[in-house]
Amino acid sequence: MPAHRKPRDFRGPQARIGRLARFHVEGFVHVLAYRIMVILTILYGIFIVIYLAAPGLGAPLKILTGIVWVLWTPQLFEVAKGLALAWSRGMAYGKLNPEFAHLYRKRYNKKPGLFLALPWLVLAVWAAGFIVLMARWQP
Amino acid sequence: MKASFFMFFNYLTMMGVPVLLVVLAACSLLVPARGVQTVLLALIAAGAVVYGAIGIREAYVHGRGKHESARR
Repeated sequence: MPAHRKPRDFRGPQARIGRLARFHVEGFVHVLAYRIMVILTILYGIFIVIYLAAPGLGAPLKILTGIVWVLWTPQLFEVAKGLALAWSRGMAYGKLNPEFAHLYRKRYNKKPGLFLALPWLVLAVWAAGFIVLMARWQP
Repeated sequence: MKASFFMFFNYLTMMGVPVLLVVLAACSLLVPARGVQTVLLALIAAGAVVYGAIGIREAYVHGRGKHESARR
C-alpha cells in the first residue's frame, strides 16, 4: 500500500492572486480591483461623513467618487454576469456540455440572448452614470 | 448562519452602492436639490464602509492559514 501523501495544490496559494493572470485575466482584474477597493471604500465612506460634516471638500470627493466608480466596474460586471448565469439556469456564461445544453433548452425553453446581453447593458448604464456624474455633479 | 449574515450585507452593499451611485448621477442631472444628495451620500457612506469591512474580512482575514494551499 502506498504511503499516505499530502495533497498538493499546484495552483499555489489562493492569496497569491497573480497566478490568476496566467489563465483567467478577467478574474485577475476583478480580484485586483477588489483588493484595492475594499480598503478604499472604507476611506471613501469616512470621507463622505467628513464632507457632510464640513462641506468645502467637494473637489476631492468628486475625484474619490470617480476612483471608486472605476474600481467598482469589474465587481459590478461580475455580479451582472453571475445573475445572468443564475437566471438563465446556466445557459448564459455557463459551461454546460452541448448535449446537456440541448436537453436543457428543450426542457426549459430558455434562450440565453437577453441574459448574455445583461452584463453589457449594466456596464453601459454604469458608464453613462459615470459620464453624467463627472460632467454634472457639483458637490 | 454566520456566513449568511455576512453574505447578506455583502450582496446588499455590492449591488446597493452602485445603484445609489447611479441614482446620485441621475439626481445631479434631474433633481439638483442638496437634501436628496445628502441622503444619498449618507446611504452610500454607510454601504461603502460595510462593504469595505466585509471585503477586508473576505479578502485578507477569513480562512488565513486554514487551507492546505494557504500554507505553501
